[in-house]
Amino acid sequence: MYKKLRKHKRVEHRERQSEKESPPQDATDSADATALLPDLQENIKQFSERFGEKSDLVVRRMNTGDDRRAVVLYLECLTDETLINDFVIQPLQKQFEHWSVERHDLPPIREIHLSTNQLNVVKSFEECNEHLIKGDCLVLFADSREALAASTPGGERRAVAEATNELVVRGPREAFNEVLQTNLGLIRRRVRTPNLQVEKIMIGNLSRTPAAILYIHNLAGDKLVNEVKSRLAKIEIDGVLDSQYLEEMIEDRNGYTPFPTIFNTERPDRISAGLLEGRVAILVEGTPVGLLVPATLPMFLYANEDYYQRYDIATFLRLLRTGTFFLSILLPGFYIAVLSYHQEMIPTPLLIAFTGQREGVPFDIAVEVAFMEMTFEILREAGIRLPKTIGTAVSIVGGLVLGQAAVEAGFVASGTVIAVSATAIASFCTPAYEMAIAARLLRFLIISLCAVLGAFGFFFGIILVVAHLNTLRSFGENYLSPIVPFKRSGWRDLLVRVSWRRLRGHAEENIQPGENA
Amino acid sequence: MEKVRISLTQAQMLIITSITASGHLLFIPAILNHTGRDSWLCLLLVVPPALLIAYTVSSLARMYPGQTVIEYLPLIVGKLPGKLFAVLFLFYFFHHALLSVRGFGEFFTIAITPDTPILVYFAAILSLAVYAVRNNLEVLARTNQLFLPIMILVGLSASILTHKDKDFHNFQPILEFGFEPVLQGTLTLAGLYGSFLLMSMVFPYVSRDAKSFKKSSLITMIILIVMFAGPLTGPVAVYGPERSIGISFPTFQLLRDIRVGELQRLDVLGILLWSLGSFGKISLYLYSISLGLSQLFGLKDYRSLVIPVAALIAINSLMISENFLEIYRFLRDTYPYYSNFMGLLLPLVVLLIAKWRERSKRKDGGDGDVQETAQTQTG
Repeated sequence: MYKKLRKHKRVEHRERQSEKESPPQDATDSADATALLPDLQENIKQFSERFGEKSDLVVRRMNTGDDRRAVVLYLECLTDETLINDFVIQPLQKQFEHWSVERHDLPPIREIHLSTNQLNVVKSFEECNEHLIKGDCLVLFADSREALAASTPGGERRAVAEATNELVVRGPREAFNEVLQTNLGLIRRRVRTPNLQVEKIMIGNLSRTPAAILYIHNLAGDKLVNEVKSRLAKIEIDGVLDSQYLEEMIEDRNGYTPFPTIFNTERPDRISAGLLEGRVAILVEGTPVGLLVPATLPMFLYANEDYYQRYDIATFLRLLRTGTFFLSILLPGFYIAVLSYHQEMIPTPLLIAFTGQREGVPFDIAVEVAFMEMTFEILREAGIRLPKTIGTAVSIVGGLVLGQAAVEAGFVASGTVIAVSATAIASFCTPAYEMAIAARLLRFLIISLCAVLGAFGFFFGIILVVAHLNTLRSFGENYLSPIVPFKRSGWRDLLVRVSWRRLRGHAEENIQPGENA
Repeated sequence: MEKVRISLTQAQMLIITSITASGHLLFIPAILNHTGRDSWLCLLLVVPPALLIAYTVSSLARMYPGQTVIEYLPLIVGKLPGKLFAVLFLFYFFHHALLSVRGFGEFFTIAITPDTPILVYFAAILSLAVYAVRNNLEVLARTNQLFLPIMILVGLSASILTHKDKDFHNFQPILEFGFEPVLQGTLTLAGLYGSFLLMSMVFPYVSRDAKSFKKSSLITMIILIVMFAGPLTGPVAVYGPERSIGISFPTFQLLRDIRVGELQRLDVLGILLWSLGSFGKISLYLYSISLGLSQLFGLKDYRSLVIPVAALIAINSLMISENFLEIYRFLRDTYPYYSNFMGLLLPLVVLLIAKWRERSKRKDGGDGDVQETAQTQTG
């Protein structure tokens, strides 16, 4: 039944796709409609119809002696007007003067020299539109079926700034911005090998977002690179505004999972490190978040600082982080299981203290913990989108007032508050935000299992999650690799990070996608 | 269906989990009941039959690489008898699954949460097993690969932490009641090792060459025997022979009595051991039964059988006996003979037939592949 429904949907989708494709096909059928017309006025009219009469399309008419004229077209929001003035309009005027004196005619289009970076000859409206949108300026000539497109990029863009989400004490501070070119530059500057391959693609039927696939030629497996390319090529979407769009469309079909199977980062050094390990990166115009595949679970528990600190300290911190990751999932559940099913485990004085605290509390421990966890989640969500100044107020009200008052009012036991807040702090240690969110969801799963089945529920949850993790794959790579399937070479950079002296050979052995078992 | 490949280590780990998980829980009391303080002698006496089991199963797997026992049985003993043997083996697996599911449930309802209906635990562990098995063997093998080291670590630390309570004078005098009880206990232990036959459902999916099976199987068996040293001797050393017989879960009792500083009554460790272990064991059995059934009836995919088989296991493990004592008595009195017949004797007969067929074929002048000759014989 379900399958039938899906098939039906797929057919519908295909129909819609063909509808989408059909208008351009019609347009190409009549070639004359898209090719530039010899009549200049007619051409200009076409453009202003396309972009709207009162749009940001600038039409700069130039008189070139006699009646013959040329027109410079550009979108003012995407171009640099001084560039256009200095390198397009002025040279044109000079050349026109020269020509009109000697020959009383316009020069052949290919003999016009403009000193911009890129200069293309375009013939159709389609091409012209594309160049205009890219931020090029067009030069149309009277009586010519060809036009010039000169690159004059401009428009407002953010400067390369310090990373805001992935902070480090020591290490590079640059973060990506929204411009693909800049971002590619940030990586090229770190990995200066001609083997670094950058393949540009266009994604999104309407948004036409440029994106780039990056990999190092000899390090990344061909299989992996081809897989990434083919998955990206299959994307059928109207707009891509963030790399998350791509992430969801190219990730492996693992069925439902809360775990991220594609790594994302705003740091060029992180992407570069991934490239050096033989991974493939995907950058998208318009977002400072780059993607890295394949991604395994341990990757989400590393901080990039692990590699910039002394290895013994890095190892300690990494162990700490791994521990807190498990705590952030398991602690509240364990608290429930022990306190409501296995009190005998608790040392007697502590048990007496706990029981004393819970004397006036009318609720079950599970209800208490779930209540506090929900409160905390609400507080966190409230804090995220508030302006910073009000954000502190939320934390005061939430943390101090609510927490303490709830205990004093006999609503929750103080032990519960300790458990929940310890969990919250532990969850802040997870360096990757996506993984921290996954842990938050799983925490509720474990809480409910422990509330029902006690310690067995606790292990039930662990088995379920581990088995689930083992079903996951990221571009052919097992999600838990190199823990299972066990790969000894991977362990040098897993829970411990060995010294760089011994880590050197790590990159080549790291990723062998498609290798099971 | 995608090609499933697991490593030899993963296969070894699966069988280790599946024999130790309920072995340590259910079989230790049965063996102790026979032998009393001489339990450690069983470990020595069981070596030859255990190695014979490992040898039989691995030789068969080597002769028919890429095939499960259900698939190559008809090639060895003929089509109809082969199917009959296959049904017998599947029944054996099924029975083992029932015992371990029931044992798992009884452990929790007797020792941990007496008020919870046993069916809750059946449903819980079987739903986990269904989840893992419906994915594939790889998922199961990898999950178990992650859990087994943890279990071994817990087990080792348990035996170290109980060491201060152990009094090895409890083992004296040796052979107070003669050899017979020791032989009885050895038979029970050998019967437990008979479920090594399960490996013949896993071997075809091991990525390594079939030649390495024999050595690794023997090693696995020795590891298994060593792993029973602690649990078999521990209760006797700590509680003395008389008391240790009266406890329903002596190994769990040992864990409970661990005391480290302020920490005591570490029931959670026991729950860890037997929930992770039983998960591995029950999943492996569920997988083998479903796969075996699908091969017996020529189905393409075993996945459709997983849930029905799991349901059958849940229902039948309720019906298998009135109470835990009945299972216990079965394990003590009937199981040794039954399991040795099914797990040791039958495979051995099958192996002998296979060898004899191979030899007679060679004499006829055919020097070709064993598998080929076998196939031509059955048509």
